[in-house]
Amino acid sequence: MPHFTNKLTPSSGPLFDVVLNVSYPYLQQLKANGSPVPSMVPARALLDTGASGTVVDPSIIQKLAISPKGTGQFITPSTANVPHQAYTYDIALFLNHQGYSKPFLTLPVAELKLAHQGFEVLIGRDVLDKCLFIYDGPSRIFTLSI
Amino acid sequence: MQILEKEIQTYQKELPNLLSEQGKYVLIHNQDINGPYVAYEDALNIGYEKYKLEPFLIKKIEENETVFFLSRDLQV
Repeated sequence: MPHFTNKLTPSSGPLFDVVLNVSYPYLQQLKANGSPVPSMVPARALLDTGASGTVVDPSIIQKLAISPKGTGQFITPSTANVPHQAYTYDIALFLNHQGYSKPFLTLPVAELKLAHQGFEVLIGRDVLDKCLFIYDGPSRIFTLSI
Repeated sequence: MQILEKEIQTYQKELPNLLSEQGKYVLIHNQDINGPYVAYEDALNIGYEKYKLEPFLIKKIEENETVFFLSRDLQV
């Protein structure tokens, strides 16, 4: 299992770079239709064990020019016990490191504003469940095996 | 929610009839319901094959919809 170690950022914690694209079945459909294929979108992601699902900023959805394929209910500290309803989108997410890439080709994600926090993707436990994540606070590093 | 409004209404209307297949996924286009499918990916693949670039909805059949928890306060 390839792994990489990176420094924890003082403000946000375990951040790393990812690449996003439209989901594989949508990509195939665009090609079959002769429609333009969006470019891959590089983004900054936060590994968040407190998030049960993965979330992306609206700017990512806009760049990929995709439409929702589902809905979901989300609870955050400010929603209290009344879940917020949001659209979900299917995307492809690539965790890249030193020439190795772990793809998630059909990942449903929610769209919520994140960019003001210094990253555009929140990697939740739906993805982390398929990785080994070590948070070494005293050494100020984290390791992700993908 | 305006996008997929018809599909969401169709799902809500048909949910009582789908509960015997809880945990599986349905693919909905307007009032047409396809499935159920065991995996989200199966529903998505068939959705694009059948409806091409037209809107469609995929929902997991659940009596009580799963709520996602986010420990950060995000702007809507």
